[in-house]
Amino acid sequence: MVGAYVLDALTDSERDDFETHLATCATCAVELAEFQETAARLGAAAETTAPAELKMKVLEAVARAPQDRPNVISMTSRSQFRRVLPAMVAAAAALALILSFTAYQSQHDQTQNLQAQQAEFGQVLSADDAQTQSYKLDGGGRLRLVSSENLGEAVIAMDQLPELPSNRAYQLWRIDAAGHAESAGLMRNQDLPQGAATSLLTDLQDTEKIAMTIEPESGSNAPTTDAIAIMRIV
Amino acid sequence: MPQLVPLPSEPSSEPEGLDSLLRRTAHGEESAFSSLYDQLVGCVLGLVRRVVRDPARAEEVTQEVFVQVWQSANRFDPEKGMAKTWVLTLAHRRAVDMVRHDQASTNREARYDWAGGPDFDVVNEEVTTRLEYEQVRKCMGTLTDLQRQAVNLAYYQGYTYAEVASLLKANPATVKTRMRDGLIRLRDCMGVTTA
Repeated sequence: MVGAYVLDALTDSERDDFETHLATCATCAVELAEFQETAARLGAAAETTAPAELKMKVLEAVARAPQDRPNVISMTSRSQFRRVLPAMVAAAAALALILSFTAYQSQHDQTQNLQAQQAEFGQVLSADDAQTQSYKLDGGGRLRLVSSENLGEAVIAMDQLPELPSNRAYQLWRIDAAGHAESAGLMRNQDLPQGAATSLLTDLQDTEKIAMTIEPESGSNAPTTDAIAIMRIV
Repeated sequence: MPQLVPLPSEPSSEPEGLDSLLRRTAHGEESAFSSLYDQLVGCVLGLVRRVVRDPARAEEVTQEVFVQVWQSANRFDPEKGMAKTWVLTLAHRRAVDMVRHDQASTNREARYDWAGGPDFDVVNEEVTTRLEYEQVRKCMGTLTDLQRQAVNLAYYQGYTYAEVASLLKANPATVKTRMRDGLIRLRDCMGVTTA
C-alpha cells in the first residue's frame, strides 16, 4: 500500500485510511520517507523553465494569504500585554481569511459580523495550535476549517455551496475514531445566503474528522448519503 | 590536454539552504520565500505540467502549490525529510487531485493513447541532459515493464492503482505490489537513504 500511497495512486478514502494507519505504524516511517524522496527525484527530473510573470502572480497571491500560524504567536513574550496583542493580530488575520469568502456582504454588515464573530470565534482563531485547512467540494463550493485541538473547537467557513432542492439540507458531522457519526449542525438553503455561512463547532475532544453530507431537510440521526467532504482534525 | 572538469555534482544533495529557507518562510519572511520559489519553481512547474498537461492549468496549480507552501510552511518537519521533497510531495498531490477533479466526467482511457506505455523518456517533451534526468532515466531502465508502466501511469499521469490495473489488464493487488517493488528498485538505484 505504501508504494501506491507515495505515488498518489490511492482514492481519497483509501488515502485517508492509510494515513490513519501510518499515524500508528512506526516501522512504516523509514520506508515512507525513502519512497517520498525517491518520488521527489522523479518529480525533480521533470524540471522546466518557469515564465517570469508566474513569480509576480505567486508573490501577489502570497501577499493576500495569511499563514496558518503567524510566528508572532510563538515568540516568547515577557508581558501579558505582549502575549495578547499578537494573538489579536492573528485572530484578525484568520478572521479576515474567513470573511474574505463572504464578499457578498455589505461593508456595514461585514463590520457588524466581524465584531460579533470575533467574540465567538476569536478563541479558536487565535489558539496557539490553530490549524487551517480548506476543502474543495466536487459539486462546487468550498470549506475552510480552523481547528484547535487544545480547545476542542473549530470554526468552519462554508462558501459557494450549491443550492439544494427545497427538501434537502447540508448536515455536518463529528466522527470519532470508531467511525461513529454525531450531528454537528444542519443548514438549509435559507441558512446559507449565497451558499455561505460560518459556524462554531464545539465539543470536538473525541472527534477525529468533520464530515458533510446532504440529508433530508429535517436532518438525519446518522449520515444516509456518502460524505461530500471529510476533514481530519487530529 | 588537461581540461577543467566540473566537480562531480551529487544529485541527491539538497540545494544548500533550502531547509533553512523553508523554516524562515514559516516565520513569515517573504525574502526567504522568494528565494525558495526561485530554487523550486522549475521542478514544481515541470512536475505539475507533466501531470495536468494543460500549460495554463499547470501554472494555476503551481501558484496554488506555492501559496500552500507559504501558508503551511510551519508543518514542514526536517526530521521527516528534505524541504525539496516536502514541496514536491505537496505539488504532486495537488496536481493529481486537480487532474482527477477536472477529468472526473471524462473518460481518460479514451482520451490518452497510452498504448506502448508513455514511458518516462517518451513523455518528457523537454529532453535535457541534466544529471538528475539522466539518473532517473537510467534507473527507470532497471525496472520490469510492469513496474515501470505502473510507476509512470501513477506518478506522471495521476492514475489510481485500480485504473492502472485496468489499463494494463493486471490484477489490482499485483499493481500495488509492483509499485512498491518499482520504488524499491528506484530507491536503491538512486542511492536514496534517509539519515
